[in-house]
Amino acid sequence: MADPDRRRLLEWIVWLGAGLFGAIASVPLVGSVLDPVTRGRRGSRRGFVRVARLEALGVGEPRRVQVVSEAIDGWIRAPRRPLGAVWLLRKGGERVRAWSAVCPHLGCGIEPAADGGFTCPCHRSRFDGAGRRIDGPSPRGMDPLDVRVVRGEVLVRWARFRRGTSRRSEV
Amino acid sequence: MGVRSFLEDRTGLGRLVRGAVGEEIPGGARWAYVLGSALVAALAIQVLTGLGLMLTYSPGATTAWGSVYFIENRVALGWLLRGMHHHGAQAMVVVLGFHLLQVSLTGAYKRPREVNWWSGLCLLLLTQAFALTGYLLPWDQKGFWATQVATSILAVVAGDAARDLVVGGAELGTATVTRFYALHVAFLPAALVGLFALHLYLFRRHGVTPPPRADLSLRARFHPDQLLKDLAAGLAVLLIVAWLAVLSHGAPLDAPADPASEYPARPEWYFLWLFVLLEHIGGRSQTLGLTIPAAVILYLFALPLLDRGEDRGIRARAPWVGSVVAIALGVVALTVWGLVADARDEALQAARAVADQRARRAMALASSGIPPEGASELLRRDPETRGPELFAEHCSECHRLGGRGGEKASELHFFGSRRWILALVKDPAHPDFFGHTKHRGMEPQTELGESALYAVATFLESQGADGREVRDMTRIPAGERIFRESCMDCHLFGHEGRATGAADGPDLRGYGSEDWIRGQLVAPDDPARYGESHEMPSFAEQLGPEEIEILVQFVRRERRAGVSLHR
Ligand code: FES
Repeated sequence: MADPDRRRLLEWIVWLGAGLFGAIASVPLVGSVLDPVTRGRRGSRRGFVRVARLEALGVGEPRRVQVVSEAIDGWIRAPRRPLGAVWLLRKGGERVRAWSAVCPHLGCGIEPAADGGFTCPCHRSRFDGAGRRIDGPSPRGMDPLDVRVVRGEVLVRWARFRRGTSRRSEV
Repeated sequence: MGVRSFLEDRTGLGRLVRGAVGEEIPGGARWAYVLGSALVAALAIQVLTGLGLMLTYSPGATTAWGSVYFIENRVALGWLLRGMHHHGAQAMVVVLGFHLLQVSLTGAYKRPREVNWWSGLCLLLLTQAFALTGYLLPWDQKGFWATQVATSILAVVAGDAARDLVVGGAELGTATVTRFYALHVAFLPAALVGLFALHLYLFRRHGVTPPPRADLSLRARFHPDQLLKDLAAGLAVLLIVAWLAVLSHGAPLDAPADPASEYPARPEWYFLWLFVLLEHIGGRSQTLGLTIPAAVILYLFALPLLDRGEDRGIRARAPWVGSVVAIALGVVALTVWGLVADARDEALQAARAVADQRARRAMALASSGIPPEGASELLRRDPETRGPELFAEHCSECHRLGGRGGEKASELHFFGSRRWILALVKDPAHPDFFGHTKHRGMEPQTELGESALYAVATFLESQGADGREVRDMTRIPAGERIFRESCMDCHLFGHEGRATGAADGPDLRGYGSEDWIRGQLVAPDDPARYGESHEMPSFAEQLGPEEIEILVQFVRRERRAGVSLHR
């Protein structure tokens, strides 16, 4: 039989070969595991979407509306799918403000508070009627969205924002 | 104490590994022993790629095809993943065939290895179950129809209840996909692990089966002497599978399953011999076609009980070796027969071409997203695919298109274009127009003269133009004037004109436009169209609004084709 050194070498070659097999056979698996980070993100930013009629908004009364628009979800292209919710506040005339109903802390749904402001039920972040942070764990005020009023229709541009950071940035 | 010895002391894993692979091989290491390891390699490929596929695949009749399309075309290296899983399955079947052949030809199933032989045969059947269940998962035409056939056979053999149990209901559907998926990724793998462990344990217990006249004093160690050869074989399998996957750039994906379509169902090539048995030999009773494969499997199971001599030499076992060779040749012959018969079958090839065309179309449509209602809607909503189908189904009994179809009503090739209208006004009673209909009111308008007719036809063609179409403005005003002077005795034009007496022609405002064609489809008896002399049925009830729209677009395409001829 061969000398022990040669044997050890061959044993190592076997282990290396097995590793090589595993590495090659795992290439496509690793590819699909990493796909979400390698494919590059599509931003959440959309065009303006109709969310309400102006007349339906009472001045000074916050209204929660859904943003329904075309969505691409994996291989599915859904013509109408809810993307999220928005708080609208009509200040008078055609002046309307809009905030994402997603809490900047960890993403729960923001609700109206008794004092005319807003509150998040998850960890009790509070915001005033202009969306500014009063107290609670939220690192920043509510995230404003672009609004437009065209021929009596309120349009909002939906976006998502990074959570848990004091600086506001779209994702 | 070093890390290594600490771990060894606490776990004993090193000893376990050495014990597992350190045994001696009487008669030495051989290339002949690598087939089992090659199978392990193929299995490892299937596991690793299968795990990757599970990350994206979505079982369900509305989602499966889309997710497979997504894997194939969007997921990073998804095409390689699926291609290797596809070719890995074929590699498994091929190597398994050789492994079986080798063991049976060398008599390695003999005492004391009978149980190992049986566990191997069970693994073979299990592999077939993997293949059958995996084939359906993309929920494409190929998998759908092959499964339709396979489960129908099951119903014949074991009754409707057995079929329903496998299918998850009376019809193939979402419950079938989820069941097959669960079988494919959980139940069958669990069974595989158990059987495979038994197979390996028995292999270690009895060792390799050296050739009858091997020099048993020659000794080698499994690790590394045999393992090096095994590894080389495993790497070869892997590279071949990967290479095939690169060559085919993924795996085939047929059009989404559509129970209402026609499809030339064929099983995967390794089941073709069974198909041929059923189709050509079993005849109508199917009993013979099913008995033969069952007998073959039973025979293989019984082999170690029948062939009991001590001598494993080929000559001493001539009848047994002969029988196995005969079975192998039979399977090969039937497979070749099936392939040749299919290649020569022109009807089948034509149907295959249609199916391939539909598959390509579905891919093209899917690239801009799949509707939430499922991938089968891609082709159902596609005017290019559905138009001809709907026309063939509902219109061609009476209408012709390019000379093909019924004789009762007009030819619709180029309908609404100038050339079509010109031919009509010159000879309305021609079989291409009203020749075979009740509509008799219109006379040939030849006395107007060629250039006037040309102008009228140009004017009427422009009635069907949509906003984008470039119109021949040099003739239209003249055509309109002549139309108003000569045609409006019989024809309406919107609210103008008066249809008089028996000769009431249809309203020609917007003639050939989408609205006009839609109106003709849903209300052919409208007095503004053919009124009393109409013979066409209304399709308002029979067809849904989307289908009506597809037909409208289909007929409009004929007009566009005619218009583009003279532009
Ligand atoms: S998520 Fe809103 S306060 Fe934490």
